[in-house]
Amino acid sequence: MNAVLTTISEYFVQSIATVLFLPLWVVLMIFINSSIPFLASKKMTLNLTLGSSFLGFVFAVFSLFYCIKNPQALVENNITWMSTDFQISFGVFVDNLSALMLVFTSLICFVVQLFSFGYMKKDESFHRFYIYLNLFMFCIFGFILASNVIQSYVFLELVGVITYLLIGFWYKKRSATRAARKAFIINRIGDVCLLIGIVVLVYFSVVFNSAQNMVTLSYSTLQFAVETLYSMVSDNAYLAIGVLIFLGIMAKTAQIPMQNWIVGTIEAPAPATALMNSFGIVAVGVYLCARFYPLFILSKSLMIFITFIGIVTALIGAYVAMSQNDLRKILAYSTSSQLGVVLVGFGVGAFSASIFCFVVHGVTKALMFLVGGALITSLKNEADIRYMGACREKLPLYAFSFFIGAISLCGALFSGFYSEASLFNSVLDFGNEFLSFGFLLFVFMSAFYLFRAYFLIFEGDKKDDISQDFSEWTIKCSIVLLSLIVIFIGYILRGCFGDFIFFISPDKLNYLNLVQNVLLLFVVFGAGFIAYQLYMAQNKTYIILKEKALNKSNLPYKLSYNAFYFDKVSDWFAESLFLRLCRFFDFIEKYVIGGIFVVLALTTRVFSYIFSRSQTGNVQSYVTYSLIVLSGVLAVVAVLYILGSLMGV
Amino acid sequence: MSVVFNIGLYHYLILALVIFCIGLWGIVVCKNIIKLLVCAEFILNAAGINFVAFASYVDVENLSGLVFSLFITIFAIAELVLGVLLLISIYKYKRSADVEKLTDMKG
Amino acid sequence: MNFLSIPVLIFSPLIVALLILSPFFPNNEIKIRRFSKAFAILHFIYSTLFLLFFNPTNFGWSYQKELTFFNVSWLKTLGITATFGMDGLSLVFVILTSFLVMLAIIASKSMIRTKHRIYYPLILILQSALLGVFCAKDVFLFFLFWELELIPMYFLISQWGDRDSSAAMKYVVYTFFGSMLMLLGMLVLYFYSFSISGVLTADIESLSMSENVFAMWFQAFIFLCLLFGFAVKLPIVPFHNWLAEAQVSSVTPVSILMAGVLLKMGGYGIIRFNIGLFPEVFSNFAPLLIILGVVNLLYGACLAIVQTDIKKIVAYFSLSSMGLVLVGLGSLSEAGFEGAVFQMVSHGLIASGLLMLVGIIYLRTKTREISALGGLSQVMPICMYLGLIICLGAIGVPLFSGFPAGFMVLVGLLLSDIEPQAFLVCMIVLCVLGAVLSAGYILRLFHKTFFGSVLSQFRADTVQIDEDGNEITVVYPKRGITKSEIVVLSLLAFAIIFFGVFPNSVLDIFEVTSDIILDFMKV
Repeated sequence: MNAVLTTISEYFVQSIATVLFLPLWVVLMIFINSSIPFLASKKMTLNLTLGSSFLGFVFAVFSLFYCIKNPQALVENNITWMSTDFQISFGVFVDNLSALMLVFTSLICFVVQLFSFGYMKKDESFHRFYIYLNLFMFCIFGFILASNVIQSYVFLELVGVITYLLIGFWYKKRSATRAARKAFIINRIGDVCLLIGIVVLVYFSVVFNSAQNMVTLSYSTLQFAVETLYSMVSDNAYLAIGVLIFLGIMAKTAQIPMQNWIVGTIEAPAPATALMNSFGIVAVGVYLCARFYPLFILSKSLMIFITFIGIVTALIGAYVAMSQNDLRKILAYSTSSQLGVVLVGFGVGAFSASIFCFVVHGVTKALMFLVGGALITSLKNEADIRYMGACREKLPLYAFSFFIGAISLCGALFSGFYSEASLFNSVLDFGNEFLSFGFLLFVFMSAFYLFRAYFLIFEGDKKDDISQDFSEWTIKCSIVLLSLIVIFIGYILRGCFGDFIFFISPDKLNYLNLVQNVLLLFVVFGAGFIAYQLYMAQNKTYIILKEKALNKSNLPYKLSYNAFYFDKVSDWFAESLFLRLCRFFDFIEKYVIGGIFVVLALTTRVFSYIFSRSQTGNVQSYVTYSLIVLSGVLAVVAVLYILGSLMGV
Repeated sequence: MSVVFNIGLYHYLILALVIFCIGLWGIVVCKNIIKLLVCAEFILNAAGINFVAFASYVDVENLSGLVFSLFITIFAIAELVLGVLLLISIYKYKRSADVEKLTDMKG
Repeated sequence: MNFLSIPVLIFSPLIVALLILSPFFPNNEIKIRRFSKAFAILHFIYSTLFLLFFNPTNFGWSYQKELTFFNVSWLKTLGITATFGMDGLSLVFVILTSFLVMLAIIASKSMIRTKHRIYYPLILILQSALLGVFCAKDVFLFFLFWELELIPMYFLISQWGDRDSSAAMKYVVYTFFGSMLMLLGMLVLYFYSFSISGVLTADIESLSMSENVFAMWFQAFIFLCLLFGFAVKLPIVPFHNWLAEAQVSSVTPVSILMAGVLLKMGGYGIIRFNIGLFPEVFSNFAPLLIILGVVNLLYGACLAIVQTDIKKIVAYFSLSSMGLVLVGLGSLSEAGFEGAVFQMVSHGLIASGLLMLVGIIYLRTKTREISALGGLSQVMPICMYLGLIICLGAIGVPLFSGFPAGFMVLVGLLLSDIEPQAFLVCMIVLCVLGAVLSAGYILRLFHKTFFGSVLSQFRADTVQIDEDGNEITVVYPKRGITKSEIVVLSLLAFAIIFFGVFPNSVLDIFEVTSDIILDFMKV
């Protein structure tokens, strides 16, 4: 039995490239399906898509199984994509990390696609949405399975493009297209920084590996390559390369100062938002960070930089999320802040805990966005949590699953408990008081905004009685499925991280430490208690406090509500500085460079005017001129002749 | 008292030069079309005199110089005929024979 | 292969043009158009046959043919012969030319309304001239075709575009000025090579052998003369002023040919003459070229951001893309060189696509003002999706043809021998900044035209008001775009994706040629 399983899993691993091309085939099928006017079947589109993601899931599970069976075994197949001075290959690369990521990504894709059927059923561009989802699958699978850095970059940008398409899905909405463009450009800035880093890496690999003629920057040799690099270049240069690469990761994971595009993801259809915020574009950043970990870990200052960026984003994101009124905005800022913490984990050296944290965050955030999306549709597109209330009675499933998600996300129970606790443990081990305090503050704020959202939406007075149960079976089904995953996945995987997913050597996750666990729980429930008092109980002092805090002129509130004015500042830079510079260039172009031609033309015209005056048309004067010239020439010749004869030549 | 002039080639050439210069001067200065035509005749005839002179002093055996002078005469007549015809029609149209006034074709 | 003949390839468009112009040809718009379209398609197929039978491992000029008239060479006593040759590099451009001419003729169906009988022959004469430039193996033959291109181009710009504009004049004056200096350089080169070797020859290959005997300053003088001619065509920044104006005032198929092929003549010339004949001088001038390229890149991008005319945005996009070509050529490494050529091909496709898009929009809205446009996605969704592909290519997203080019140029830049490295890194950062800006202006173009509120003229269904104020009924075809336009756009989109996914398909063609040229440089 076991032997059969091993053989099958090996077969699956060897043909894993199928996973990559299946979605493309499905895209073609959906395209054909939707182009036939009367036969276009939504069921068929759904089945094809679900089939491709489910098959991806099966492949991923078997690959995972294969990786468990054969520790340290890498599967790598490459074909040449481009060859000049160096060879760039495309290929698949399966190791523990990519197998695990593949499992979760395909799983979430499956759930989201299931959900989308109910959610998008009435939309006219149903097929287009599924085409996008399949393209997304192609890109993200290609990214996860990438065998070298350049392939990663290729698919990373493609994921950015798909994100752009998904955010701008409802392109008739101006806000959607604006958000899409903004997300694309900010990600582009990160991408090109990453590109510079990669170009430098390629350069070093070409210079130092030219004899071996191997795949440029393959992940199997990246460790060796970066160690060579570290020994070759100065510390500052190494730091610069590292920071450039990390800038790409920062843009993808929505870190300060490139975090604002994440709010734009709410413009996409809810399932797409869920996908992007869980295992979509943000996963790309985290996965890339894990892949480049050998590079980062060599430089101490780089690790500090990563930690710093991570904790600052975690705090700012959580702080901003506390005052937002749009449910989806809360969740979006929450993504940014949670990923900050994941990066903190990378920064303090807790590789496996970070990945654990990220995976748990992914499934939880997917659940919450899906619930949020379904809820908002049920409430006739009311997204403002101030106008919701007491939804628990009418929509118990949503309330229950949202509660599970919230509890898990702030690390109190279920999966979040294991991941957050192990991360907290690593942060404490790092031994920086500010960092530990910052982490606790982050946990406090996260718990606060999650409980606030929960109380305002599901408990309290009924402010709006328009809620109706909008639930197709696919929606319910996927939410239940995801809730179950959120509850159990942490328990199942708690041993996996550290033993199976690790950097260089296994490090056991330490999530059971009584003092730390109590401390975390105390912070979480303290935040929950405060949120309850502020938003539920009718305590006089708290009401006064709340009114004071929510005063429009209160600076901390304004900062939080306006997300620290990052948008305004960046707009100012773009508008006032950059566009002015460009207009200046335009001025030069029009009046200086263009003017040269005009001046030339004018000069010619002036001269031609002057000379044309001499052309009177009077033949007699022409004859006179020519006579004068002729006699002049004759005189010169005569003088020369006479002179010549005098000299005796 | 009589002075015997030995008339040679140079005298003819100088005469031709003088006539040519008069003709050229007239072409440059005159405004009247008739005068211009006459001056053109002067120039042509100066050339004719040269031909005849060279034929009778230098190249005695050949008749080509004489034949050329005949050609020139014919040419001059043709030119004169055309010129006078044009002159008449211009005069009918303009009531003047002044070349300065013939600016209709000027761009 | 016996049926592959370069003279046939080059002169058949000319002959067809004369045939159409001849009084025997029926003076019927449809017949003329169909005939030239059929010919262009056949010609494209014929040129791809060269590719099929082209042996990339074959060194040097694989096809070579001297054109003689009853066994008498052209200007034989002067050493000037009408020799045509084709190596990998020429082949790439020949196929690009013939492909884009085909698309331009297909696109002309909806864009050209008058004077068909002169228009199509002019396009075909232009094609002949362009092919001649890319295949000429003799310096003066090259110059002859280089100048021949001006004649049809002048009429094409001035007669079918914006009549009031002085753009055609400007184009001719700029190009002519450049090419006169180029001619000076060529003549000096020719005579001095004669004075040294004693053999009168104008063959590009034979000239390139004798470069070392000249003094450096003298070589630099000829080099600069030649470079000036190509700089006007490419264009390099101070001499680029004709481009935007000529693009804006010419009609779409003509601007497709201008951006798609004419600019490439400059790049091709730099490779053939400046690199091929003066490798040593070129390596001295390389840092300057890189700087000029970066200036091109950023200046073009900055200008494109603030333009309000969408065709001008595309024109400055072309300027900016050509900067990358210069950077790649200046890097003097294999990757940079191949990246530059790839960029030329890719830009030919992308710019044509963008211009086609602009042309389609202009035809329907009668405006190119960016503030007056919007909401076209709801009227022509197919156009939007094809446009999206082209725009993504223009931004340089991977798996679209812009990316491999840019990536190779950047790596090639770092791999070059130019010192110091800090300079190269700075240049890379600046190039990459250009990539960010390109995302900015291309997306601006795309969003402002396709998204937002629907234009008033589209809301009023099919009734439009023409220039005299009369209401005319315009019936748009289904989905707002005609079949020929779909064909052009989708062929371009397909090519953009194909070359992005399989960059080696182009790189293999001229790999050996680039090796030869670069080996020559290293010696």
